Amino acid sequence: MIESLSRPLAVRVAKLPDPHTWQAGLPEAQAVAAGAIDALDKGRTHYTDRPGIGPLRERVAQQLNEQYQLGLSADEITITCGSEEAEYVALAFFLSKLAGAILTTPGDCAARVQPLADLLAVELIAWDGRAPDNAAVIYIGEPGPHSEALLQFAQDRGLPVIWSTTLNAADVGIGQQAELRSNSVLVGGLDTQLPGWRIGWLAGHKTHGGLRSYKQSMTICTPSISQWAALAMLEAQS
Amino acid sequence: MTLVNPNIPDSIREVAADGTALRYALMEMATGPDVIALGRGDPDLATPAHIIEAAKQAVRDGLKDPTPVAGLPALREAIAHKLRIENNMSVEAENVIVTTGGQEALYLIMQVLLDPGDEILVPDPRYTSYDQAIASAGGQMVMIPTDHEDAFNLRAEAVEAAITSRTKALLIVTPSNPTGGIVTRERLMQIAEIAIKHNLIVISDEIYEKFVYAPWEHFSIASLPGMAERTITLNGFSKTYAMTGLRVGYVAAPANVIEAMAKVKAFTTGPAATVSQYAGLAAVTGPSEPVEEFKRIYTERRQVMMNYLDAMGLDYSEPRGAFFLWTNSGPTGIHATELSYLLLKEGRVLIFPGTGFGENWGGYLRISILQTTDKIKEALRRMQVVIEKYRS
Repeated sequence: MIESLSRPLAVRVAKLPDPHTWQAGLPEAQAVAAGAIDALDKGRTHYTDRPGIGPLRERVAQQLNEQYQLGLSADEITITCGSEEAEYVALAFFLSKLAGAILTTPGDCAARVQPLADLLAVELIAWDGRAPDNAAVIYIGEPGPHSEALLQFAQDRGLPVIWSTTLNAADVGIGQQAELRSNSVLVGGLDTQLPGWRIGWLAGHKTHGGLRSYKQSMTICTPSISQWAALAMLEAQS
Repeated sequence: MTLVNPNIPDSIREVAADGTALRYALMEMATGPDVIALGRGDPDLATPAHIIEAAKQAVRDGLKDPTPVAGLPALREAIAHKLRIENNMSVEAENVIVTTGGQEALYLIMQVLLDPGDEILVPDPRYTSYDQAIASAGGQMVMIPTDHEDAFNLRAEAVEAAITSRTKALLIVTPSNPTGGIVTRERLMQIAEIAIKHNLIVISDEIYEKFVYAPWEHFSIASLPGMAERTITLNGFSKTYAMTGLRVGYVAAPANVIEAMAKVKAFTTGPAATVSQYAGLAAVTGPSEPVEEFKRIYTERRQVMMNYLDAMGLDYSEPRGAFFLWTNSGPTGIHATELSYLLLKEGRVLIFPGTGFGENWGGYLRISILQTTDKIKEALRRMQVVIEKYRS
């Protein structure tokens, strides 16, 4: 491209790793193919409601409530294009409201979030026991002593918390943090079971309208056939 | 802008200044089987059968695994072929990225293109998702006026007058949402000269390219000498093939722009859904007859709507392309935001106000032709009743 653009363009993405190859999915339940074909036959190829189809949101809310004791309603769920979109939207949304750094647990989680921080041009701080003054959002990807300390820090400072279930689906403790739940969002998805279908979710409370609008500004809605296929799988599993 | 009608609910007042939010608020109110929706740009026609069958076959064949983030190689190649043959563009597969709809293409383009404070020229009125995409990258939108007397074509002198030292890019939309105007070949040639003279990037949104009405023709600015290296062309399958829900679009641009977009896309949404991409492949390589039939249907509906608006005494900009009639509602004496609300509440007709496409357009409505001719006629009959009741 014209020389005046080439170098800034390269600098802007220099820190980002080359696009990775998504892993092949597990063998799918027959229900997935049946759900997709049924949706195609019924002409479900047009825009869905921007938060996603109601039955899928209800099913996701039910699953999350069973897993994490959250008390979510379907209205507090937005279906996203993979967990990638959920994580990106959550971070981008909060950081558009609050200037500062992402504070996260050290190790694998910090390594995972670093490209997102680079993309959003913000600092990433790995928790080391000290309370940074410039933290704007907390990102928790796995349970453990660090996450407990971060939760306390978030509560003390009134900072939003993003809980990612993509790294470890074990109980991350959000269900017990009633004071935090109103300022938190859970991000997750069916990346392992259905990587090529691109299904994830945002689950939140107070901030959910803003998160939904941000997602809509990026992709309008999640692929319709993928949503019906995911619903068929979740119904078959229950 | 002050909405004076006391019957306008807070849910509309609170979002009246935000075009996107206003459109969605009206859509959320438009429930019930008797509502005739002439609002959203979602074709009411069925996705062509060969595309449905190809998607089903992909599912049966187990073609479910994720593709490279830039898209299925066969789809990228097919898109490049289409652009070479139909749009006379110099494009290879490496110049194409498959996106999760045209909306994501917009977002990614702005993310890779704009530094905070960069200015981007945008014709007004406009699809206000441009505003959001530009703002999310820290850019500044500079509006270029277009007008009814010129059928909302884009004037080269208006473009040049808006250029400052911070201008990085110009956005062209042809055919236009919301006006239905096109940027003619002659004007595009003049604009290309300006882009080269001022070293600007051009973003060309051509998502409605297949629906340009005779005697007008679509033309891609990227095909002009000196423009391939500085043009980012945005297009997709949603509008052409009535498959808005599958979320598959594409961008054609210099390879380094595509590489940058792919790097960003890996972290925003990952690759587009695989089955959706196979549907896109069937669309771009399949028969043209379904789209030709769509165009025939839209042409007929367009004429029906023009005839009815003429009979109602409402002026509209000549709809040279896309799905919309950009209608001057000023003579009704009712602000467009209020009129849209009243049309929905009392007439059970969803029509977007001009303020859904820019704050200066309180005297316009965007009326889509995405219903049967019988429903269009009924909608306009109801519209006339409401206008007569509230006309001042």
